[in-house]
Amino acid sequence: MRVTNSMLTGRFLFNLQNVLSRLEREQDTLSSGQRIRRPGDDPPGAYKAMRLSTAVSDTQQYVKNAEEAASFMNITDAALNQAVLTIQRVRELTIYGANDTVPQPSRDALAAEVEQAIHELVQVGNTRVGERHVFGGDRTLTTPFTTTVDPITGLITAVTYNGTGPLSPPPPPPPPPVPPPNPGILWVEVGDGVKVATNVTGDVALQPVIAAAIQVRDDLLGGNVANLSGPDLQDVDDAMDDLLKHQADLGARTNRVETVLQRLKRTDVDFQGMLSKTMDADIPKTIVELKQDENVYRLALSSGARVIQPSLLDFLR
Amino acid sequence: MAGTFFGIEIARRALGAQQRALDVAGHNIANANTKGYSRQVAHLVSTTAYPPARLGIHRPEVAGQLGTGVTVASISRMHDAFIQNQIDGETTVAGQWEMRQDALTQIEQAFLEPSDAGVRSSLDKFWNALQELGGSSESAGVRAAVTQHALELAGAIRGTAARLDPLAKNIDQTIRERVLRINAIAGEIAGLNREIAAVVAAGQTPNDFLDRRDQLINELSKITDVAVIDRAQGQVAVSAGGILLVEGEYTRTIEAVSDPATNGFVRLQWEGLGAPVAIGSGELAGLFEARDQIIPEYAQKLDELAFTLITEINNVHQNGYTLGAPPPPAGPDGGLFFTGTDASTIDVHPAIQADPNKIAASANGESGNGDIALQMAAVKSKKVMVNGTVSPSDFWAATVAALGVQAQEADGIVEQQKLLLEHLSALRESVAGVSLDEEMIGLVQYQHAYGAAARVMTTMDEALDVLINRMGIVGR
Repeated sequence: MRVTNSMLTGRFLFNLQNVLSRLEREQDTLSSGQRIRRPGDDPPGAYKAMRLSTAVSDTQQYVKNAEEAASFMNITDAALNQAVLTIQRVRELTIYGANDTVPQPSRDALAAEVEQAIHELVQVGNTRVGERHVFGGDRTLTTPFTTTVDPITGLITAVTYNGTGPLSPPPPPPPPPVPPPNPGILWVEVGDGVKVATNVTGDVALQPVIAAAIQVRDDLLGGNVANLSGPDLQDVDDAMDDLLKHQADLGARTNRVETVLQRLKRTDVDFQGMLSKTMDADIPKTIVELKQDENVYRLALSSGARVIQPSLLDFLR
Repeated sequence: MAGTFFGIEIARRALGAQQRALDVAGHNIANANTKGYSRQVAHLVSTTAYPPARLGIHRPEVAGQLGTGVTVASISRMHDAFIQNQIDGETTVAGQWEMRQDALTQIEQAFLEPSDAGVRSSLDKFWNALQELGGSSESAGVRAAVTQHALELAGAIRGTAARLDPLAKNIDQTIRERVLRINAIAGEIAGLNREIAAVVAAGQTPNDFLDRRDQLINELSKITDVAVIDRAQGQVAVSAGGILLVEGEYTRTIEAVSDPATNGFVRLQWEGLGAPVAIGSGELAGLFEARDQIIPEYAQKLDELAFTLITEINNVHQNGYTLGAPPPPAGPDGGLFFTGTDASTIDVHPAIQADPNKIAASANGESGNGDIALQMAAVKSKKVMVNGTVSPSDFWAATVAALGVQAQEADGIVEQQKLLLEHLSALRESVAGVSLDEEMIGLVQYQHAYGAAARVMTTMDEALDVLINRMGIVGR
């Protein structure tokens, strides 16, 4: 085949363009750290990268949700602990006050202590995290427990629960939509479609102990020993059992959240690893390719220069 | 016997012919870098010998035949029409795929995926904000964040649509420019046809005109697929889409007519005939495809995503209670979350922008209930697109992947065509290209021959000088 100068220069330019194109790509990959700069670079990789980015973002949000839920549940548990200690003290006061030999003034003093205990229980019931009340069910901005005070004696006569819960469901909305099946629950999502109940409602956990304490105080003031050692003590025991049961249930739910949290954190790391493998440039490989292409570039330039320069003119006199 | 001055005639012919050959070599060298130039070769042929054959009894009794010198029989153009044809054909294909590649690259740049600057990232952040709302629906800070991320999502979608919008209009403009070029080229080819016919009628070869016409046809081939038909006297007819564009000295004009039915985009028709121009391949085909199929397809997918988000989230939102709303048995007061119908009109409802408490997160009117917020978040993964088979997140990722596949294919074919054209170009050069070394050698050859012929002339002259001035002067 006859070869002309312009064939040599044409081929030289063509190959040079190809090498430069590869060099440009490698340099861009290294300086951006990204293997996939546009969908056309690796279409299935781009799809995977987008889905993984979404998965990482979702997982990190679930981690956040779970951490906040665990923290909320721990605060709830601490408050319940305090309520348990308080009602235990009321129990002791009840037993002591049920003794026939205790004079009434002593019982009055005991009643005053029980009154304090009632105030404490109400305070526990109104525990807040930020602006959110812990024991009010999902009516979180309303103070769950309000007291009615007798103006003359200064004693609490009634404690009303203003929140929502299984014992105090809110009125149903007009159909449709369907009201939530478990009223008063604060749900948190810790996975795709996975929800955890994070609260305990005041109506089932605290109102029984408060009611029992009020009864004890009244009977102490009235000197009703028979009631104190009988039904009152029974009520206090029953209420305390209920409280402990709810605390245990909360504990089990908290454990579940902590387990899910650990799993989510591992999943987060896994997803991020997969995303990095898909999207990030393989730096060592790219550097090797860059070095190779640099060599090819130099060779192309030097060999091209050697070939296109000399001509017959150099040798004719 | 041949005439007295026969020798001088031979020398004269030699000088003339070598000089012509030098001129042709000079022309080649001058045009060594001219695009589309085909090298020319002077064909030196021996002139008719003496005595001629078939004289019968009038034949002179001499040794024969005696050569009479040389002449340039023709100056021909080294050219392979078949390769040129192939080049034109592959150029047409390359033109079409280059236009496709351009459009797809521009769409990739508009989408900005799979980076953190695209719609996917905004959608994920909006979802995160809704999750926060589900867990802390009383919080003013969280509500403000939801509004903010919703605005960012709407902005990201509108921004992408805004980047796609001018693409089609630019392509329309490019089509108009290409049509002007086609008509200009057709006019030039017709002019060249006339010149070529005149030269061929005079019995000569219009080499440079032919080169120029081939180049014009190549340029035309890139723009649209044309068929070239040889006519008498070296002329050609060019037809596009089955209708003659150039015939002899006459041309037909293509009009780009603004069509109100397609929002003012042009369609092409033949002037006078009114018939539409059938475009099969070439840049024009690629441009029309980009304008009418590729870009609208992706713009429509973006619109679909926006519409789905707007509809599904609004559907959930209006069953919710805002913060501070009257509780049941009063009904839900959610209202609209997003306004708009497609990617260029999606926005957050002004009531929500003004007051984040108007985000209806609660399903039962209680401040701590965030079920509606969680349901809105669930829209991202709800299989509500493509006949209920694909979620919005997946739909978008799949759209980007489809774009990537098309872009990758276009890249591959454009590269392939470049390689093919380079190869064909080398073949063409091999036949038609000027090799400076070759021409240099030719120059040396012709120069030597010229010098030698001049010496022949001098020798003949001296011989005649002896004959004329120094014979027959005996005794003078």
